[in-house]
Amino acid sequence: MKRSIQWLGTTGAFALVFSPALAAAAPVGTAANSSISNSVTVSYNVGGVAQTPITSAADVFTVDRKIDLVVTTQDSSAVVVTPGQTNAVTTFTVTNNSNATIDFLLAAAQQAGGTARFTGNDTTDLSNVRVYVETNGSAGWQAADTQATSLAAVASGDAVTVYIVSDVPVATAQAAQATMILTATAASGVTATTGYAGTGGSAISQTPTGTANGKTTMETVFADAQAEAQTGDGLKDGKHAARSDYRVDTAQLSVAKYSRVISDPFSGAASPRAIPGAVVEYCIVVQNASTTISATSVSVSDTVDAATLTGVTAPTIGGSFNGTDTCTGGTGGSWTSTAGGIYQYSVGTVAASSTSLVRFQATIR
Amino acid sequence: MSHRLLTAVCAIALGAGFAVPAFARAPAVALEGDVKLVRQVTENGRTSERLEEPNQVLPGDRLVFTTRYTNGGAEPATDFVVTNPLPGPVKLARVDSFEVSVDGGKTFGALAALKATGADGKPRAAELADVTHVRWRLASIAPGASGEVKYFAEVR
Repeated sequence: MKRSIQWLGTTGAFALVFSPALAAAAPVGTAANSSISNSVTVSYNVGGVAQTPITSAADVFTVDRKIDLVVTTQDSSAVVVTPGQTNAVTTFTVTNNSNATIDFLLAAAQQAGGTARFTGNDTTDLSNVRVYVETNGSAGWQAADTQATSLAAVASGDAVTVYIVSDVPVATAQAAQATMILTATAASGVTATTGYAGTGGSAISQTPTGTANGKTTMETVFADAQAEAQTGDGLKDGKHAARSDYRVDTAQLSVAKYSRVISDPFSGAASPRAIPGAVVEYCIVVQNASTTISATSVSVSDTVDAATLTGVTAPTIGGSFNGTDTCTGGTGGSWTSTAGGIYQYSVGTVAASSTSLVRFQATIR
Repeated sequence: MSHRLLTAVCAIALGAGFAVPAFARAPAVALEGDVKLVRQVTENGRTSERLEEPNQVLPGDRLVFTTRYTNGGAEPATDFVVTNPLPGPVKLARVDSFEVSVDGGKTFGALAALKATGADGKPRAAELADVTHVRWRLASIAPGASGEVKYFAEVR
Protein backbone atom coordinates (compact mmCIF):
# COMPACT_ATOMS: atom_id res chain seq x y z
CA MET A 1 0.00 0.00 0.00
CA LYS A 2 1.26 3.39 -0.87
CA ARG A 3 0.86 5.87 1.94
CA SER A 4 1.45 9.31 0.68
CA ILE A 5 1.40 12.73 2.22
CA GLN A 6 0.70 15.74 0.10
CA TRP A 7 3.94 17.67 -0.01
CA LEU A 8 3.44 21.38 0.36
CA GLY A 9 6.14 23.28 -1.42
CA THR A 10 5.45 26.58 0.32
CA THR A 11 6.37 25.91 3.88
CA GLY A 12 6.04 29.51 5.04
CA ALA A 13 2.29 29.10 5.33
CA PHE A 14 2.73 26.89 8.40
CA ALA A 15 3.91 29.82 10.46
CA LEU A 16 0.50 31.44 10.36
CA VAL A 17 -1.11 28.58 12.24
CA PHE A 18 0.57 29.27 15.56
CA SER A 19 0.06 32.07 18.02
CA PRO A 20 2.82 34.68 18.05
CA ALA A 21 3.89 33.82 21.60
CA LEU A 22 5.20 30.46 20.48
CA ALA A 23 8.25 30.41 18.32
CA ALA A 24 7.19 28.88 15.04
CA ALA A 25 9.66 28.20 12.30
CA ALA A 26 9.72 26.45 8.99
CA PRO A 27 9.49 22.68 9.27
CA VAL A 28 12.84 20.94 9.33
CA GLY A 29 13.15 18.91 6.16
CA THR A 30 10.69 16.79 4.28
CA ALA A 31 7.87 15.58 6.49
CA ALA A 32 8.23 12.02 7.73
CA ASN A 33 6.17 9.46 5.82
CA SER A 34 6.20 11.58 2.66
CA SER A 35 6.49 9.54 -0.49
CA ILE A 36 9.18 10.32 -3.01
CA SER A 37 8.02 9.17 -6.39
CA ASN A 38 10.16 9.46 -9.49
CA SER A 39 9.24 8.69 -13.06
CA VAL A 40 10.45 9.85 -16.44
CA THR A 41 8.80 10.50 -19.74
CA VAL A 42 10.56 9.74 -22.99
CA SER A 43 9.74 11.04 -26.40
CA TYR A 44 11.55 9.78 -29.49
CA ASN A 45 11.31 9.30 -33.18
CA VAL A 46 11.61 6.21 -35.23
CA GLY A 47 12.17 6.54 -38.92
CA GLY A 48 11.59 10.25 -38.55
CA VAL A 49 8.11 9.74 -37.10
CA ALA A 50 7.32 10.86 -33.60
CA GLN A 51 6.26 8.00 -31.34
CA THR A 52 3.83 8.24 -28.47
CA PRO A 53 5.81 9.30 -25.41
CA ILE A 54 6.28 6.60 -22.85
CA THR A 55 6.46 6.98 -19.11
CA SER A 56 8.40 4.80 -16.73
CA ALA A 57 6.77 3.21 -13.74
CA ALA A 58 7.04 5.40 -10.67
CA ASP A 59 9.73 4.43 -8.23
CA VAL A 60 8.27 5.14 -4.79
CA PHE A 61 9.84 5.16 -1.37
CA THR A 62 9.03 6.75 1.95
CA VAL A 63 10.90 9.39 3.91
CA ASP A 64 11.58 8.09 7.40
CA ARG A 65 11.07 9.89 10.70
CA LYS A 66 14.19 11.58 11.98
CA ILE A 67 13.99 12.40 15.68
CA ASP A 68 16.13 15.40 16.50
CA LEU A 69 15.65 17.85 19.33
CA VAL A 70 17.69 20.53 21.03
CA VAL A 71 17.32 21.91 24.53
CA THR A 72 19.11 25.16 25.33
CA THR A 73 18.96 27.61 28.21
CA GLN A 74 17.90 31.18 27.59
CA ASP A 75 19.83 32.32 30.65
CA SER A 76 23.20 33.90 29.92
CA SER A 77 24.46 33.76 33.50
CA ALA A 78 23.39 32.26 36.81
CA VAL A 79 19.96 33.41 37.94
CA VAL A 80 20.50 35.43 41.13
CA VAL A 81 18.28 34.38 44.01
CA THR A 82 17.99 35.28 47.66
CA PRO A 83 17.46 32.87 50.57
CA GLY A 84 13.76 32.21 51.12
CA GLN A 85 12.81 33.34 47.61
CA THR A 86 9.92 31.43 46.07
CA ASN A 87 9.34 30.76 42.38
CA ALA A 88 12.87 31.42 41.21
CA VAL A 89 12.97 30.83 37.45
CA THR A 90 15.49 29.37 35.02
CA THR A 91 14.46 29.47 31.37
CA PHE A 92 14.95 26.93 28.58
CA THR A 93 13.99 26.38 24.97
CA VAL A 94 12.99 23.00 23.55
CA THR A 95 13.24 22.91 19.75
CA ASN A 96 11.84 20.12 17.57
CA ASN A 97 14.29 19.58 14.71
CA SER A 98 12.59 16.34 13.69
CA ASN A 99 10.84 16.09 10.35
CA ALA A 100 7.60 15.28 12.10
CA THR A 101 5.30 16.69 14.75
CA ILE A 102 6.14 14.96 18.02
CA ASP A 103 5.50 15.23 21.74
CA PHE A 104 8.13 15.61 24.44
CA LEU A 105 8.42 14.45 28.03
CA LEU A 106 9.96 17.08 30.31
CA ALA A 107 12.01 16.36 33.40
CA ALA A 108 13.85 18.73 35.73
CA ALA A 109 16.71 17.40 37.83
CA GLN A 110 19.19 18.92 40.21
CA GLN A 111 22.82 18.34 39.46
CA ALA A 112 24.70 16.48 42.20
CA GLY A 113 27.84 18.57 42.55
CA GLY A 114 30.39 19.17 39.83
CA THR A 115 30.93 22.07 37.48
CA ALA A 116 28.05 24.46 37.20
CA ARG A 117 26.68 25.65 33.87
CA PHE A 118 28.18 29.14 33.94
CA THR A 119 30.92 29.58 36.55
CA GLY A 120 32.02 27.71 39.67
CA ASN A 121 30.46 24.56 41.03
CA ASP A 122 27.08 23.21 41.97
CA THR A 123 27.01 23.35 45.78
CA THR A 124 23.40 23.22 46.89
CA ASP A 125 19.92 22.10 45.93
CA LEU A 126 16.69 24.05 45.84
CA SER A 127 13.26 22.80 46.83
CA ASN A 128 9.82 22.53 45.24
CA VAL A 129 11.24 22.13 41.72
CA ARG A 130 8.55 22.37 39.06
CA VAL A 131 8.39 22.57 35.26
CA TYR A 132 6.21 25.14 33.54
CA VAL A 133 5.47 25.69 29.87
CA GLU A 134 5.04 29.18 28.46
CA THR A 135 1.34 29.30 27.62
CA ASN A 136 -0.04 32.69 28.56
CA GLY A 137 1.70 34.66 25.83
CA SER A 138 3.57 37.00 28.18
CA ALA A 139 7.33 36.74 28.06
CA GLY A 140 8.88 35.30 31.19
CA TRP A 141 7.37 33.03 33.79
CA GLN A 142 4.07 33.98 35.37
CA ALA A 143 1.88 31.90 37.64
CA ALA A 144 -0.61 31.87 34.77
CA ASP A 145 1.76 29.77 32.67
CA THR A 146 1.02 26.07 32.80
CA GLN A 147 2.77 23.55 35.01
CA ALA A 148 3.33 20.46 32.90
CA THR A 149 5.22 17.21 32.53
CA SER A 150 5.10 17.07 28.73
CA LEU A 151 4.84 19.07 25.56
CA ALA A 152 2.08 18.13 23.14
CA ALA A 153 2.26 18.22 19.35
CA VAL A 154 5.32 20.38 18.74
CA ALA A 155 5.49 20.86 14.97
CA SER A 156 8.69 20.35 13.03
CA GLY A 157 10.95 23.36 13.48
CA ASP A 158 8.99 24.85 16.39
CA ALA A 159 10.58 25.98 19.66
CA VAL A 160 8.82 26.09 23.02
CA THR A 161 9.88 28.03 26.11
CA VAL A 162 10.01 25.91 29.26
CA TYR A 163 10.72 27.13 32.80
CA ILE A 164 12.15 25.38 35.82
CA VAL A 165 10.62 27.09 38.85
CA SER A 166 12.04 26.43 42.33
CA ASP A 167 12.05 27.73 45.87
CA VAL A 168 15.23 28.72 47.71
CA PRO A 169 15.56 27.40 51.29
CA VAL A 170 16.06 30.24 53.78
CA ALA A 171 19.22 28.63 55.13
CA THR A 172 20.97 28.65 51.75
CA ALA A 173 24.42 30.20 52.08
CA GLN A 174 25.69 33.24 50.29
CA ALA A 175 27.24 32.36 46.88
CA ALA A 176 25.81 28.83 46.94
CA GLN A 177 24.92 27.57 43.47
CA ALA A 178 22.26 25.12 42.38
CA THR A 179 22.47 23.73 38.84
CA MET A 180 19.27 22.56 37.17
CA ILE A 181 19.04 20.10 34.29
CA LEU A 182 16.07 20.11 31.92
CA THR A 183 15.79 16.96 29.83
CA ALA A 184 13.33 16.61 26.98
CA THR A 185 12.55 13.15 25.58
CA ALA A 186 10.87 12.58 22.23
CA ALA A 187 7.47 11.06 22.97
CA SER A 188 4.04 10.25 21.69
CA GLY A 189 0.63 10.01 23.28
CA VAL A 190 0.82 13.25 25.26
CA THR A 191 -2.54 14.78 26.12
CA ALA A 192 -2.57 18.51 25.48
CA THR A 193 -3.80 20.72 28.31
CA THR A 194 -3.06 24.35 27.44
CA GLY A 195 -1.07 25.38 24.40
CA TYR A 196 1.95 23.11 24.11
CA ALA A 197 1.61 22.02 27.75
CA GLY A 198 0.48 18.45 28.23
CA THR A 199 0.37 15.44 30.48
CA GLY A 200 1.18 11.77 30.06
CA GLY A 201 2.79 10.28 26.98
CA SER A 202 5.56 7.79 26.57
CA ALA A 203 8.98 7.92 24.97
CA ILE A 204 9.35 7.11 21.28
CA SER A 205 11.47 4.08 20.44
CA GLN A 206 13.88 3.97 17.59
CA THR A 207 13.25 1.31 15.01
CA PRO A 208 15.73 -1.37 16.16
CA THR A 209 18.85 -1.49 14.03
CA GLY A 210 18.36 -5.20 13.36
CA THR A 211 14.90 -4.65 11.94
CA ALA A 212 14.62 -4.95 8.20
CA ASN A 213 13.98 -1.56 6.68
CA GLY A 214 11.02 -1.16 4.43
CA LYS A 215 11.35 1.04 1.43
CA THR A 216 7.75 2.19 1.73
CA THR A 217 7.40 2.11 5.50
CA MET A 218 8.33 4.90 7.87
CA GLU A 219 11.13 4.00 10.24
CA THR A 220 12.10 6.10 13.25
CA VAL A 221 15.72 7.13 13.55
CA PHE A 222 17.28 9.06 16.42
CA ALA A 223 19.57 11.83 15.20
CA ASP A 224 19.91 14.04 18.28
CA ALA A 225 23.24 15.36 19.51
CA GLN A 226 24.77 14.64 22.90
CA ALA A 227 24.32 17.40 25.46
CA GLU A 228 26.88 18.45 28.09
CA ALA A 229 28.33 15.53 30.02
CA GLN A 230 26.83 16.67 33.35
CA THR A 231 23.33 16.15 31.97
CA GLY A 232 23.88 12.43 31.45
CA ASP A 233 22.48 12.78 27.92
CA GLY A 234 23.60 10.35 25.24
CA LEU A 235 24.19 10.64 21.52
CA LYS A 236 21.21 9.66 19.37
CA ASP A 237 19.08 8.58 22.32
CA GLY A 238 15.92 10.55 21.53
CA LYS A 239 16.70 12.97 24.34
CA HIS A 240 18.50 16.23 24.80
CA ALA A 241 19.18 18.37 27.83
CA ALA A 242 20.51 21.72 28.97
CA ARG A 243 21.56 23.24 32.27
CA SER A 244 21.22 26.55 34.03
CA ASP A 245 22.31 27.79 37.45
CA TYR A 246 20.81 29.55 40.41
CA ARG A 247 23.26 31.53 42.50
CA VAL A 248 22.49 32.88 45.95
CA ASP A 249 23.48 36.48 46.25
CA THR A 250 22.12 38.32 49.23
CA ALA A 251 22.82 41.45 51.20
CA GLN A 252 25.57 40.81 53.75
CA LEU A 253 24.89 43.09 56.66
CA SER A 254 27.14 43.56 59.62
CA VAL A 255 26.54 45.87 62.52
CA ALA A 256 29.04 47.28 65.04
CA LYS A 257 28.67 49.73 67.85
CA TYR A 258 31.45 52.07 68.93
CA SER A 259 31.59 54.43 71.88
CA ARG A 260 33.83 57.19 73.15
CA VAL A 261 33.63 59.64 76.01
CA ILE A 262 33.47 63.12 74.62
CA SER A 263 33.33 65.19 77.82
CA ASP A 264 33.18 64.88 81.57
CA PRO A 265 32.07 67.42 84.18
CA PHE A 266 35.61 68.16 85.35
CA SER A 267 37.93 68.24 82.38
CA GLY A 268 35.33 68.98 79.69
CA ALA A 269 36.29 67.79 76.21
CA ALA A 270 40.03 68.10 76.78
CA SER A 271 40.70 64.76 78.41
CA PRO A 272 37.35 63.24 79.25
CA ARG A 273 36.98 60.27 81.59
CA ALA A 274 34.03 57.91 81.85
CA ILE A 275 32.89 59.21 85.20
CA PRO A 276 29.33 59.91 86.32
CA GLY A 277 28.04 62.91 84.43
CA ALA A 278 30.31 62.28 81.46
CA VAL A 279 28.79 62.30 77.95
CA VAL A 280 29.33 59.21 75.84
CA GLU A 281 28.83 59.20 72.09
CA TYR A 282 27.76 55.97 70.47
CA CYS A 283 28.13 55.20 66.78
CA ILE A 284 26.29 52.28 65.22
CA VAL A 285 27.78 51.21 61.90
CA VAL A 286 25.60 49.10 59.56
CA GLN A 287 27.60 47.79 56.59
CA ASN A 288 26.41 45.90 53.52
CA ALA A 289 29.36 43.95 52.13
CA SER A 290 27.46 42.66 49.09
CA THR A 291 28.65 44.26 45.89
CA THR A 292 25.35 43.66 44.14
CA ILE A 293 22.39 43.39 46.47
CA SER A 294 20.76 46.12 48.58
CA ALA A 295 19.26 45.38 51.98
CA THR A 296 15.87 46.96 52.44
CA SER A 297 13.73 47.73 55.52
CA VAL A 298 16.81 47.80 57.76
CA SER A 299 16.04 48.89 61.31
CA VAL A 300 18.48 49.48 64.17
CA SER A 301 17.43 48.86 67.77
CA ASP A 302 19.61 49.78 70.70
CA THR A 303 18.74 48.85 74.25
CA VAL A 304 20.04 51.60 76.49
CA ASP A 305 20.62 50.56 80.10
CA ALA A 306 18.52 53.08 82.01
CA ALA A 307 20.35 52.19 85.26
CA THR A 308 23.63 53.60 83.98
CA LEU A 309 22.72 55.92 81.13
CA THR A 310 20.36 58.82 80.84
CA GLY A 311 19.75 61.76 78.54
CA VAL A 312 19.78 59.86 75.26
CA THR A 313 19.84 62.39 72.45
CA ALA A 314 18.05 62.25 69.13
CA PRO A 315 20.09 60.33 66.58
CA THR A 316 22.29 61.86 63.93
CA ILE A 317 22.08 59.92 60.69
CA GLY A 318 24.81 59.44 58.11
CA GLY A 319 28.12 61.25 58.05
CA SER A 320 31.37 59.37 58.10
CA PHE A 321 33.13 56.84 60.32
CA ASN A 322 36.87 57.04 60.99
CA GLY A 323 37.31 53.30 61.27
CA THR A 324 38.15 53.22 64.96
CA ASP A 325 35.51 54.83 67.15
CA THR A 326 34.46 58.22 65.79
CA CYS A 327 31.55 59.25 63.63
CA THR A 328 31.33 62.77 62.31
CA GLY A 329 28.87 64.78 60.30
CA GLY A 330 25.46 63.58 59.31
CA THR A 331 22.03 65.13 59.69
CA GLY A 332 19.61 65.13 62.56
CA GLY A 333 16.97 62.46 62.74
CA SER A 334 14.57 61.05 65.25
CA TRP A 335 13.92 57.69 66.87
CA THR A 336 11.00 55.80 65.44
CA SER A 337 10.42 54.27 68.85
CA THR A 338 11.90 54.63 72.32
CA ALA A 339 9.47 52.32 74.09
CA GLY A 340 10.89 50.29 76.99
CA GLY A 341 14.32 51.88 76.72
CA ILE A 342 14.78 50.35 73.27
CA TYR A 343 15.78 53.08 70.89
CA GLN A 344 14.80 52.12 67.37
CA TYR A 345 15.71 53.87 64.15
CA SER A 346 14.54 52.87 60.70
CA VAL A 347 17.54 52.98 58.40
CA GLY A 348 15.59 51.83 55.33
CA THR A 349 17.72 50.64 52.44
CA VAL A 350 21.43 49.92 52.78
CA ALA A 351 22.71 49.83 49.23
CA ALA A 352 25.32 47.36 47.99
CA SER A 353 28.86 48.18 49.17
CA SER A 354 27.63 50.98 51.41
CA THR A 355 27.46 51.86 55.11
CA SER A 356 24.75 53.53 57.17
CA LEU A 357 25.57 55.35 60.42
CA VAL A 358 23.42 56.12 63.45
CA ARG A 359 25.01 58.32 66.10
CA PHE A 360 23.67 59.45 69.49
CA GLN A 361 24.88 60.61 72.87
CA ALA A 362 23.98 59.63 76.42
CA THR A 363 25.09 60.72 79.88
CA ILE A 364 26.52 58.39 82.50
CA ARG A 365 24.51 58.48 85.70
CA MET B 1 12.63 -2.23 -8.01
CA SER B 2 10.02 -1.64 -10.62
CA HIS B 3 10.52 -2.64 -14.14
CA ARG B 4 8.04 -2.04 -16.81
CA LEU B 5 8.30 -2.62 -20.47
CA LEU B 6 6.21 -0.37 -22.55
CA THR B 7 6.09 -1.06 -26.16
CA ALA B 8 5.61 2.05 -28.13
CA VAL B 9 4.01 0.11 -30.89
CA CYS B 10 1.13 -1.00 -28.69
CA ALA B 11 0.48 2.48 -27.44
CA ILE B 12 0.48 3.82 -30.92
CA ALA B 13 -1.77 1.06 -32.20
CA LEU B 14 -4.36 1.76 -29.53
CA GLY B 15 -4.19 5.47 -30.05
CA ALA B 16 -4.56 5.20 -33.77
CA GLY B 17 -7.33 2.65 -33.82
CA PHE B 18 -7.10 0.19 -36.63
CA ALA B 19 -5.21 2.42 -38.95
CA VAL B 20 -2.01 0.53 -38.56
CA PRO B 21 0.72 2.88 -39.66
CA ALA B 22 3.78 2.08 -41.67
CA PHE B 23 5.96 1.87 -38.60
CA ALA B 24 3.90 -0.85 -36.97
CA ARG B 25 6.99 -2.90 -36.35
CA ALA B 26 8.72 0.00 -34.71
CA PRO B 27 11.25 -0.84 -32.03
CA ALA B 28 10.31 -1.22 -28.42
CA VAL B 29 11.95 1.23 -26.07
CA ALA B 30 12.17 -0.02 -22.50
CA LEU B 31 12.68 2.16 -19.47
CA GLU B 32 13.76 1.13 -16.02
CA GLY B 33 13.98 3.54 -13.13
CA ASP B 34 16.10 3.10 -10.06
CA VAL B 35 16.90 5.14 -6.99
CA LYS B 36 19.74 4.62 -4.56
CA LEU B 37 20.81 6.32 -1.42
CA VAL B 38 24.33 7.75 -1.58
CA ARG B 39 25.89 7.00 1.80
CA GLN B 40 29.21 8.52 2.83
CA VAL B 41 31.32 5.80 4.38
CA THR B 42 34.56 6.53 6.18
CA GLU B 43 36.88 3.55 6.52
CA ASN B 44 40.49 3.75 7.62
CA GLY B 45 40.36 7.50 7.32
CA ARG B 46 39.24 7.42 3.71
CA THR B 47 35.79 8.56 2.77
CA SER B 48 34.01 6.86 -0.05
CA GLU B 49 30.46 6.79 -1.31
CA ARG B 50 28.37 3.68 -1.22
CA LEU B 51 25.03 3.16 -2.92
CA GLU B 52 22.30 1.62 -0.81
CA GLU B 53 18.66 0.79 -1.22
CA PRO B 54 16.54 3.78 -0.08
CA ASN B 55 15.18 1.99 2.95
CA GLN B 56 16.18 4.49 5.57
CA VAL B 57 15.83 7.94 4.06
CA LEU B 58 16.00 11.12 6.11
CA PRO B 59 16.04 14.81 5.21
CA GLY B 60 19.48 15.79 3.96
CA ASP B 61 20.23 12.37 2.53
CA ARG B 62 21.62 12.24 -0.99
CA LEU B 63 19.91 10.15 -3.64
CA VAL B 64 20.80 9.17 -7.15
CA PHE B 65 17.94 8.63 -9.56
CA THR B 66 18.85 6.53 -12.59
CA THR B 67 16.81 5.72 -15.65
CA ARG B 68 18.09 2.95 -17.90
CA TYR B 69 16.84 2.79 -21.45
CA THR B 70 17.06 0.07 -24.04
CA ASN B 71 16.16 0.23 -27.66
CA GLY B 72 14.88 -3.28 -28.22
CA GLY B 73 13.76 -2.61 -31.76
CA ALA B 74 15.35 -3.01 -35.15
CA GLU B 75 15.52 0.66 -36.02
CA PRO B 76 17.32 3.57 -34.39
CA ALA B 77 15.33 5.72 -32.03
CA THR B 78 16.16 9.33 -32.77
CA ASP B 79 15.58 12.64 -31.01
CA PHE B 80 15.39 10.70 -27.79
CA VAL B 81 14.28 13.08 -25.03
CA VAL B 82 14.03 11.93 -21.43
CA THR B 83 12.10 14.31 -19.20
CA ASN B 84 12.19 13.73 -15.46
CA PRO B 85 10.09 15.88 -13.11
CA LEU B 86 11.80 16.08 -9.74
CA PRO B 87 9.74 14.62 -6.89
CA GLY B 88 8.60 17.48 -4.63
CA PRO B 89 10.52 16.38 -1.52
CA VAL B 90 13.91 16.42 -3.25
CA LYS B 91 16.09 19.13 -4.67
CA LEU B 92 18.75 18.79 -7.30
CA ALA B 93 22.15 18.28 -5.69
CA ARG B 94 24.32 19.26 -8.62
CA VAL B 95 24.10 20.17 -12.26
CA ASP B 96 25.30 17.64 -14.75
CA SER B 97 25.15 16.97 -18.45
CA PHE B 98 21.46 17.68 -18.68
CA GLU B 99 19.13 20.61 -19.16
CA VAL B 100 17.00 21.82 -16.30
CA SER B 101 13.74 23.68 -15.94
CA VAL B 102 12.78 25.94 -13.08
CA ASP B 103 9.27 26.71 -14.34
CA GLY B 104 7.54 23.35 -14.17
CA GLY B 105 8.90 22.04 -17.45
CA LYS B 106 7.85 24.89 -19.71
CA THR B 107 11.38 25.98 -20.61
CA PHE B 108 14.68 24.19 -20.33
CA GLY B 109 18.28 25.31 -20.40
CA ALA B 110 21.48 25.47 -18.41
CA LEU B 111 20.86 26.37 -14.78
CA ALA B 112 23.21 29.35 -14.94
CA ALA B 113 21.14 30.84 -17.77
CA LEU B 114 17.79 30.52 -16.04
CA LYS B 115 16.00 33.00 -13.79
CA ALA B 116 13.65 32.33 -10.91
CA THR B 117 11.42 34.66 -8.94
CA GLY B 118 12.88 35.70 -5.61
CA ALA B 119 11.04 36.15 -2.33
CA ASP B 120 10.78 39.85 -3.12
CA GLY B 121 9.03 39.11 -6.40
CA LYS B 122 12.02 40.15 -8.49
CA PRO B 123 13.88 37.84 -10.86
CA ARG B 124 17.09 36.33 -9.53
CA ALA B 125 19.54 33.72 -10.76
CA ALA B 126 18.02 30.24 -10.52
CA GLU B 127 19.45 27.91 -7.89
CA LEU B 128 19.60 24.15 -7.57
CA ALA B 129 16.62 24.20 -5.23
CA ASP B 130 14.51 25.88 -7.92
CA VAL B 131 14.87 23.06 -10.42
CA THR B 132 11.58 21.33 -11.19
CA HIS B 133 12.59 19.13 -14.13
CA VAL B 134 15.70 17.70 -15.67
CA ARG B 135 15.91 16.67 -19.31
CA TRP B 136 18.37 14.71 -21.38
CA ARG B 137 18.46 14.83 -25.18
CA LEU B 138 20.12 12.04 -27.07
CA ALA B 139 20.43 12.26 -30.84
CA SER B 140 20.06 8.57 -31.58
CA ILE B 141 20.01 5.18 -29.93
CA ALA B 142 21.05 2.36 -32.14
CA PRO B 143 18.99 -0.84 -32.25
CA GLY B 144 19.83 -3.01 -29.31
CA ALA B 145 21.75 -0.23 -27.61
CA SER B 146 21.13 0.77 -24.05
CA GLY B 147 22.35 3.37 -21.64
CA GLU B 148 21.41 5.29 -18.58
CA VAL B 149 20.85 8.82 -17.44
CA LYS B 150 21.01 9.91 -13.84
CA TYR B 151 20.82 12.86 -11.54
CA PHE B 152 21.78 13.43 -7.93
CA ALA B 153 19.31 14.95 -5.53
CA GLU B 154 19.01 15.64 -1.84
CA VAL B 155 15.99 15.06 0.35
CA ARG B 156 14.72 18.46 1.41
